[in-house]
Amino acid sequence: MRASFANSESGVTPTLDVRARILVSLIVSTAVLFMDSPVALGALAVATFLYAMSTRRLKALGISYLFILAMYVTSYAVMGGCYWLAEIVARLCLGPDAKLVQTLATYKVTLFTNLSIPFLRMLPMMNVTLAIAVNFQVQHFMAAMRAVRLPRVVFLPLAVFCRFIPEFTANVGQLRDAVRMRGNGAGLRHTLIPMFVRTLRMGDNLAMAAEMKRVGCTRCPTLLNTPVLHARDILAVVSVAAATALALAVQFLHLTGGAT
Amino acid sequence: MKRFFQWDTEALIIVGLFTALSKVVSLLVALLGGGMNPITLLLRAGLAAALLIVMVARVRRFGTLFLYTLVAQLISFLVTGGGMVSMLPFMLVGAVMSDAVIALCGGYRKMASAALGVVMYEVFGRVVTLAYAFLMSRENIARFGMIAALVSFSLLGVLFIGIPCGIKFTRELRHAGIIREL
Repeated sequence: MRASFANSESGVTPTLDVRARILVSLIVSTAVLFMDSPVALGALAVATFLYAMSTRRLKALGISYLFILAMYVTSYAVMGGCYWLAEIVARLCLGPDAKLVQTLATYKVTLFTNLSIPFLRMLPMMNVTLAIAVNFQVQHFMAAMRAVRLPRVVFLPLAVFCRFIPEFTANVGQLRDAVRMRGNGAGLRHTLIPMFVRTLRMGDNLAMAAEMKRVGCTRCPTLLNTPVLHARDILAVVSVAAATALALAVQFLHLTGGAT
Repeated sequence: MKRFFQWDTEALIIVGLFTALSKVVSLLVALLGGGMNPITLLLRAGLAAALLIVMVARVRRFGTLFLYTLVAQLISFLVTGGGMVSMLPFMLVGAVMSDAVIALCGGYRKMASAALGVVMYEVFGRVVTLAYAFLMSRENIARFGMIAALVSFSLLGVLFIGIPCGIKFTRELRHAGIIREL
């Protein structure tokens, strides 16, 4: 793979231990399961945004936020369009007083809030995932996973998953160039088959590299850098856990406030 | 049974790669197709099924779908905070059952059994999703009806896009020598 996902060592988060970063992700992903209040999710998004900002990878963060915004806008436009169309059809077929027409009108009004919650849930996860992704090195990741005694059957596919994303971006660029050179429109066959071929070839190459590095052997290989938990790792985990607890408290208050 | 727990590195890497490809392709289709709409839903379900057939044909080991489910759900949980964690045990049972169907219907060397196993995996996954949706929104039957319609619609994508495409892709890759003879 490329020497690292990102070579910057500046910031706080890139120097954090992989286990600390994964633990933070685990805490946040568990918390968002129980949250549906926009205020609580917003608070957690702000806290994790500060955590992600500490990586100082502002460009990556900006691109990710633009990506989420584009997804939100397209989803809103398409869903809004569908509801609008369905309402017109229902109004013409069933009349303006039909229950379905009123239900669709209500859905149209609440669409903004209903769509906001899943996207707000995505924001904290994106922030903590970005903190894992920057400066990701397979060697560090595998050493950390071995240290927590996770089975090879689980951590090896996980490492490959993280390793795949930058390679996929490069593959897409090459495929785009190839399709442009052919001069034809890119059909499903002309894009997906080369993608499968490249993926399977990549699998063969990775398997060979893994065998060379004795990944599959029963004895643990000698590590170049033994993973060590520092005070800053514990501090980062405790800070994010405290922020998450605060957001959960906001969620609880919001629920009880709604009940009364 | 011992072989079930002893996976070679190549098989694990292929499962990881296909999990990643499936996630990325789903995300791209969702983004380029404009969020949740019927066409996107059909395409996503179809591509996921096609990818599964190619993966099963390439790895050819009992437990491939089980491992895929485990890794995919773990990644969903860690990366997107997916709310499917509560369904994980049922999905794993479904994956083992689908693996058993492939093994019993002629093994991983037959294209038909691989396709049948993937169809069963997808159907079981959707049944579990619907059961969970019913449990969560049983007070609002209209909402459940909408979810049921969407889930059933995505199954059409699996049956009419995913399975034929998966078989065609596997044949092409076999012809190219990328996948060994089934």
